[in-house]
Amino acid sequence: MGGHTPRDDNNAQGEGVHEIDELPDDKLIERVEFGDEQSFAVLVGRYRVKALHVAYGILQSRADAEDAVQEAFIRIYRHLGKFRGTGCFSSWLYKVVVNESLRLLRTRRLASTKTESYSPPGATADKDTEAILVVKQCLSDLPIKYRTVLALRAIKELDYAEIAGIIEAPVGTVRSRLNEARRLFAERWKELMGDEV
Amino acid sequence: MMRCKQARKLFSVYLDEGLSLGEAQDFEKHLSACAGCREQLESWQKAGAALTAALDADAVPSTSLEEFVSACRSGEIQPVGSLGRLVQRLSAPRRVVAATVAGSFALTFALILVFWAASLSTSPLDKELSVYSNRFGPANVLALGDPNRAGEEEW
Repeated sequence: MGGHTPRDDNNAQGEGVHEIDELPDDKLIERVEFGDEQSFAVLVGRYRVKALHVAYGILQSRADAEDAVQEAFIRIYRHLGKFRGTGCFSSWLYKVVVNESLRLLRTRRLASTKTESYSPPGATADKDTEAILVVKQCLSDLPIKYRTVLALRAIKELDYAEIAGIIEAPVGTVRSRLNEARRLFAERWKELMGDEV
Repeated sequence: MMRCKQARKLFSVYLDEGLSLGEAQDFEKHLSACAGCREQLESWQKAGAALTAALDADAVPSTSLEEFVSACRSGEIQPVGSLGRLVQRLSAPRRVVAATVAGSFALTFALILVFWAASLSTSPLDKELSVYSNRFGPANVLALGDPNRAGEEEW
């Protein structure tokens, strides 16, 4: 399920667990509204990596994903007052991240810049780099609607109902779309990996 | 007995442990008898693991948390609480224009109201005229202050 479980999240500040790190999202939001920037930093630390995974799944570029996540957090911070009492903070955040990623994807397409694409590994490419390139290629070959649900599910935090809320589709659609996304992804991955599978 | 087509529609939910007990039992029964579905499910699991590994390895922040929060701040972030919210509202150019226009309308409306209210209220001179009018009638009041008619009437 979405929402925050303090002990499960990485402490991005690299410090011990303080009282503020233990606060639930809604308490942190209240504090941010009164100008407490440290609470905002805790929220960012709690969700930044997962948000980055979602954006990366859609954009396949770390730099673009970081831009999308930063823009999402800026928007979140500016409109925090609108969130109060309207559901799960993490779902709202991921929705903004998806929207920002899609917006960036459109901009990137308009600018006709190409992302790094997969090419058969050269002698210098190590196995990890190759595995990452294969995954990126598989994701970019997927239609956007499939890679979005795949990215949202890949962070292992959101259930089908929450994903449905984020992409504004029925739960049944999420279920079938995710099944199709995984099938297409696995087929393409097998194709690119060849004998190594 | 579940067929391959049915089973393959459930792969994703099975991997997410979302099947009911009965569905899971039927599904696993099919898997144990179907090498094709077993192989396909295995490739889904491997591809899923590759995706997770790629995200963990490559989708990592390139900046520290402090740098990131500071970068968010330089994106014109303003505190959203109490006074901060007002500051934020006024900081955006569009909002400044909107606030100025709304303020001008409000001020104009207020001035109109004040003048209108003033015109309705009774001035000291009106009160005085009213007293005379009651005492002597309209004709006498008309004569007040008129030097040509002075003395025509005796008070």
